[in-house]
Amino acid sequence: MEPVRTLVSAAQSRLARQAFCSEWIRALVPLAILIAVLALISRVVGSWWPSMADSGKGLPIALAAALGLAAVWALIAARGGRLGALAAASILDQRLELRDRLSTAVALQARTDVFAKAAVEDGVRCARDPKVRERMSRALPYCAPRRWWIGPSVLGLAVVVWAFVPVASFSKEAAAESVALAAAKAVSNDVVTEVVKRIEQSPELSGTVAPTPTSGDAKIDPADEKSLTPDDIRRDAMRKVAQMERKLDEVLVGEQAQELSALKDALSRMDAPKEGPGSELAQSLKRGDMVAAKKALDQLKQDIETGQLDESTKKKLEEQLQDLAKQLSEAANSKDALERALAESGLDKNLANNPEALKRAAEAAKHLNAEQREALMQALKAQQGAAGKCQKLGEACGGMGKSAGGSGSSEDLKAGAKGGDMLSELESMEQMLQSASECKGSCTKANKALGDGMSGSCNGPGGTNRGRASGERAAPEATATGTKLRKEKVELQDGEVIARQLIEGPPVVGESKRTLERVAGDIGTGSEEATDDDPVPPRLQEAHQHYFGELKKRLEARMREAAPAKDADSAAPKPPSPAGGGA
Amino acid sequence: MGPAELILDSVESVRAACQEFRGSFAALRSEVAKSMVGQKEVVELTLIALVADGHVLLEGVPGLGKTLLVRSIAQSLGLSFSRIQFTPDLMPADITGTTVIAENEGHGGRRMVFRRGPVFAQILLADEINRATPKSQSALLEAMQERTVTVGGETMALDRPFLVLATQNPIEQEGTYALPEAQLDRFLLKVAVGDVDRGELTEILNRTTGPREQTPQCVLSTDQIAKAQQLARRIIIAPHVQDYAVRLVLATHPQGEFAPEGVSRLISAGSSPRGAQALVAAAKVRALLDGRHAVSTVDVASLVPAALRHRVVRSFEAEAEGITVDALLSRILEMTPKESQL
Repeated sequence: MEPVRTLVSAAQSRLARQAFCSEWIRALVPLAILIAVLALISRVVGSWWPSMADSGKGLPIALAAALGLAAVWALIAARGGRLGALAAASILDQRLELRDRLSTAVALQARTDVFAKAAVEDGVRCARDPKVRERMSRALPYCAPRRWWIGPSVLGLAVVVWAFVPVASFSKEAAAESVALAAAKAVSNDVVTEVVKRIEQSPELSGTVAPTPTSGDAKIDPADEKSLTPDDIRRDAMRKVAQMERKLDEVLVGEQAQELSALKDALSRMDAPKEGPGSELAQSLKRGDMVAAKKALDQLKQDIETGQLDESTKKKLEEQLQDLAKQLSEAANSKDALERALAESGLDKNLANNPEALKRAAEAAKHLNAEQREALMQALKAQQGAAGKCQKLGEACGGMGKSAGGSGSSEDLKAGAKGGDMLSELESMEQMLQSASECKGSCTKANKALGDGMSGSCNGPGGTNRGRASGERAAPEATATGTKLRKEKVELQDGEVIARQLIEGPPVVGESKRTLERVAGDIGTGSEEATDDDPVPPRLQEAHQHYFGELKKRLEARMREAAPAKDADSAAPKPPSPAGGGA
Repeated sequence: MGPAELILDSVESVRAACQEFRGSFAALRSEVAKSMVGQKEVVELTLIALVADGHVLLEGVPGLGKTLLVRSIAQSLGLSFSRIQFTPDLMPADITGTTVIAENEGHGGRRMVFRRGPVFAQILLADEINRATPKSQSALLEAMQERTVTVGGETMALDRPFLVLATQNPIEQEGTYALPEAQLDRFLLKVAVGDVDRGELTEILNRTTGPREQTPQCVLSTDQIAKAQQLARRIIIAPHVQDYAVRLVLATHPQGEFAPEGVSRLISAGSSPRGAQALVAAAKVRALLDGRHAVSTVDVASLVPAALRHRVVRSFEAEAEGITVDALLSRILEMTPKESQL
């Protein structure tokens, strides 16, 4: 019987696998139709429900769920409908035209009569036949069920719809929203591009300030791009512009700016001659106009080299340049800016003369935070840089003076040339700071323009008066509610306002009969109780004590004045004065 | 004294008995073929009915050799044979026999003596059975079912084997009486005798118009027939194959659970349980002839027309549409799955 069992078992397995495949494909049809319907719905409702329309998320999940569900269903159905040995043998008999030998053997295997045994032997002989085994795989082929193509086709259609059909926009609001989105993108792009272009005009700034592709605090996720609103686009652009503005701020208050500022501050205190060949240079330096200073220096250098100056002029020039060199050397030693910074930080301003001690003091100062310490160090560096530049300018002027007097060497003339380079450097630094300042202005304007276009602005679509920058007070707008105003007919009656009576009680009317003494007592007690219940802040304690102390003094003084009068009244009765006992 | 009991105590003895049966059957078939040309299916079905201990109704137009077939079988089996020519004036007593007054030869007294009719034979040829009135036709009922004849209150057993081979002309011919359903149900098989082809007709002419006709010889004894009948009854039918036969029979019932769609309205009455019995009994013999020890669905299906065609009554609709019973049965066979439903 074993050959029959083996053969039938193999047939059962093949039939079970075939049933699984058939059920899977069959179950896929309704699920595929469901996904197709969902795909269509997603195209319709996608404008209101962006996450559903997103093919990158919803589609793979839906496909995986459909295939998984179909597989689970097929597994359950195949297990539930698994054929028994008799049924499988019967199918095999019919397909192989075995005249029910196998199924009869399976059905009669337990019987012991001779005819049953003979029938079972027939089945066994049949099962042993190699041709039968060979034919079995052909008789039970794995074949797709009828109309197997429906499920995959519908599924493919759903994928195409989901992935390639655009989301429909049926409402005017959605259309307007998409137009607003496009406009916001265009405006934001234009504004940011303009600012970047403005920054890139200055080579010194473009490297440090212009945004890089990886810069930005928070970038918009491309997956969320479909769910963006115009405000989000503008907000993102504002973020970029603000970032550039912050960097520009850093440049404007940075080391170079401080250095230039310190230098100009030192130069401004020089005593510049108003006349003479060196006056132009001195005046330019005093004004802090590096361009004019360079021009004047170059002119003097040319005059000296060409020998166009007469002796008296040369002498005068030598004197003025030597004087300028002396003043510049003195300016190099000026540490006013650093001293101010030290004073603001609560440190001894004498530390400006000893950088090492300043560093140690700054590190040791517990009341300074890291940023303050860094600012101090920056001020120190700026002062040192400015001093160095002053020194070099002074040397250049000195050298030029010597050359003008004829006592100078070629080295002195070279020193004058170096002064020109120094001025060029300062000029470019000034220009950079000027550009940074202008760019910052552009950033501010750009942010304002972007902010004006947002929905909170009065210019934006559907905007309100909130956020108006003009400083005017926005007119109140009625809140849309279901409240209706109507005038009721009521009878007016004389009497107190009910609400006031309920809160304050009946109003006290008439002349006060309270004595000043009692009022003073109440004030004193009341102030003490109030102080106990709610402690007065330390900064107000003095004022508090002064106020109530003064009040008490005045009341006591008033009472002392009133007491003799009272005594006199008691001795000679007088009609009561309305103000006599009143507070 | 009944026939000897068939003793089979081993698989080998079963195989030997089956082998012997097939040899005998082949000999019988070839012996019949000596006088009967063609009609192999008719001959086989008739012999199957004989082994299954049932009766056969042969239907066909006159002159197709129906009577010759029956006579040949009787000669080949060496059984007693009688023939009744059914006519409209045939009386039941003409079939069963009658009681007559006879004189005692010794003392001259008279007594009532039963004179046996032609039914008292082992092979009875009821020729053109549908030409007699239903009253005369029903005279065969007891003999066919009970294998006994009751006359004048006395019941007499018929010799075994007892086989009625009735022939009938198609009912649409003039001067015929349709057999009542009860009578039809007694026939194990109804065999349609078809026309002969050119070759067969030529052979018939050669044999019958020549100098001498060949006469079949007896090749099977009564005991052998009885053993063959016992052997056939012991052939196994597996439950799922039997269930197939049951479903087929129930499919002929118009309101039955298994009635195929579209067939129900064409049938007014389905087969009786005798139809299922006939189907299985005949299928067992066919399995035996095929060298198997168990019945297959193919055996069952092959015998459906012969076993059920006289048991299914067409509806008026089917008659109006000209749909034959055989066509209905073919449709039922197509629509009833052979695979096990158990």
